[in-house]
Amino acid sequence: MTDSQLIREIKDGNVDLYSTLMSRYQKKILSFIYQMLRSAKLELMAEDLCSETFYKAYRSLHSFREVDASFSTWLYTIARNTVLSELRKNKATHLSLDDSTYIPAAPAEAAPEQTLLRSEKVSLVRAAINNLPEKQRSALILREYDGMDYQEIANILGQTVSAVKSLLFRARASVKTQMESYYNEPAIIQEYEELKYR
Amino acid sequence: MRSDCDLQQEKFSDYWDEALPSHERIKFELHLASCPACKEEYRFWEESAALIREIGQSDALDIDTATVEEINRNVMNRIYAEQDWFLPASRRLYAFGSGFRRRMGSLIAALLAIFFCGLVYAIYEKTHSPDTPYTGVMDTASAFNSGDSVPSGMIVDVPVASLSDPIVLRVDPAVPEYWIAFALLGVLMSLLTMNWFARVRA
Repeated sequence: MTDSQLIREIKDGNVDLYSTLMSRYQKKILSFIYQMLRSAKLELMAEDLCSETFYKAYRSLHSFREVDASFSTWLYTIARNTVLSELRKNKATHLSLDDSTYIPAAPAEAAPEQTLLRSEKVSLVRAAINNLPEKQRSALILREYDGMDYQEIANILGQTVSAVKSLLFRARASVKTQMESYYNEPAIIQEYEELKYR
Repeated sequence: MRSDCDLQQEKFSDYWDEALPSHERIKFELHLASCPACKEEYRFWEESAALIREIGQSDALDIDTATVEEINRNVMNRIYAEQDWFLPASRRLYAFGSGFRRRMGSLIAALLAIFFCGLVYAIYEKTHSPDTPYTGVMDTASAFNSGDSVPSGMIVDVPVASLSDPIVLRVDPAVPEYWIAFALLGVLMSLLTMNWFARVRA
């Protein structure tokens, strides 16, 4: 059954099918909310906000029109608005360096020093993403984490495609600048060069 | 006025996303090939963008099924709490309190016990009694052959509604198995009551 058919059935009163519809998007939406909350250190609220998102979506289902956007895009928009509203409520503007424990694995043959350098890089990139302004961060997460195209991101953020391109450019440039400033520190340059030629 | 390098560096993001039109992509690649500064700039850009993408992919949460199911259940419970008339009947029964369920269960069990006792008794009675039928159709009283059974000179008052009385039903035993019917009716009523409660209870 397609999303449209499910939505039609739910609107007709077969409410139990909403559970099926939810299960199709839960992981993606939860992951998106988690990433959005990470910068404010509110990851623990991700599940609650995910529930809230789906409940709000159900309450507004009668106003959903597929000609305007796909259900997935519409859901992401609700999720983003829910997160923003919660962040505003919590006034969690303080952003600190990310302390996530997960570091993408370095190549198997990598030396311990290289692994260390890599973990530093990963932490740096994470912190840089968390420091981005909300719109740039949303655009980057939707593009890189959820693999959305420009048009979908534009629909979710309520921007034009060219504005999304600009947001992505600025987000990536900002990450790059933060990495550059880190690597431009003399001690780091020396360490980096040593590792590079070891 | 901005230099060609500035203009090309603005295309880093689109090039990385493979969103540049082919003629612009060729122009961009030609520029990188001829400009070492932009090439180095793009190399660093590429490294950070690749790292972002890699983190994004590896960060995709390993969400377990239990978490997903819990969220699903929470949302559905919230919806049904607000619009309880949408709650499927199969799930509504769980809304009954344990006391109510126990009492209804006892009632149904008692009624079923009466039903089975009655049934056993009826079967026993049938097997241990003479072959006379419990219920049956008596011979029809007929106005035309009354001469055979009625002594001569006796006048038989024939009913005027018809030429022959239709059927006279003899019920034997005199008190039929009302309790079997009562027990069945009771079980039926209990189930219907529970179903009705299920539909109206909040």
